Amino acid sequence: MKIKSLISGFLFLFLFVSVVAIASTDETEKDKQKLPENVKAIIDKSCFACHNTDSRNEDAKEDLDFKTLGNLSMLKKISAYKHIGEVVEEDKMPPKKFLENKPEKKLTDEEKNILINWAKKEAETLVKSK
Amino acid sequence: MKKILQLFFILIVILFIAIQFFQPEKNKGESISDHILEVENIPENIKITLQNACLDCHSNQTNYLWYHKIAPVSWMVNKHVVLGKDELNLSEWGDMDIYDKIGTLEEICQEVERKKMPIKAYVKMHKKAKLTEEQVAELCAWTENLSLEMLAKFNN
Repeated sequence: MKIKSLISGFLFLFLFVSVVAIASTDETEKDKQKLPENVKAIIDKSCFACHNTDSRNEDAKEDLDFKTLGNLSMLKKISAYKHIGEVVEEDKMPPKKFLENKPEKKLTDEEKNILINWAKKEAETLVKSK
Repeated sequence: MKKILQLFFILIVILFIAIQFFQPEKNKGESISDHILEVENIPENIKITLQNACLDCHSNQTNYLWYHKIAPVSWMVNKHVVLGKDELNLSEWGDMDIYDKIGTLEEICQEVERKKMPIKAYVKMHKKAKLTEEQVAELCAWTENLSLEMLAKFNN
């Protein structure tokens, strides 16, 4: 009798832990999965180095932080996506000075289009979700 | 020696008079139908803040003071106006789409909160442009409200 209740106790504990684990991985996975593969590749190549929480470029991470983008308020997200589209379209990012040292990080026209369309779609989804 | 100094002084005066003939075009647009103050219903306190601290450079209607018409000050003022309007022109508000508007409102709050706007040179000459913490908070509350209002309207 005692063993039975011990086993069911363990089973219950196991179930509980795995549910929590699944739920929490879901949460972090969701943020990563939000970026389509091709968009993620471009951001990793040309944007993420400066625009992330651990960046030493204070201005860059203050303006946009890809790691915390998902936690922003809806209005700030819309604004961020709009801004991303704009700076990419106007060739303001990545900055010219940065590209002088790392010309391989320059966005091609195709990459620019992918980013612009992605940012536009994200902003549209947010605006229409309200 | 005295003569050289005299000559130099006269030259400066002539140069000063000469440059007065090279004046930039005044930023005095007539159409206000797309102006943010016309399009949106803005609370009085925010209107005053916008007029005192933003609209001289961020609209087609600069409120010139007498010495702004004298070169080389007029050149400097013109440069600020051109750059300001390039970033944001609130006389064209009615023509912007909802993404531009929300992004702009967000940026207005951010720039002012981070004290990047209004620029120091402007505040030095326009005491009223110096915004108090309270004014900044009011401005940010307004930008957020207006964005949410627009979103609600957009989806109705």
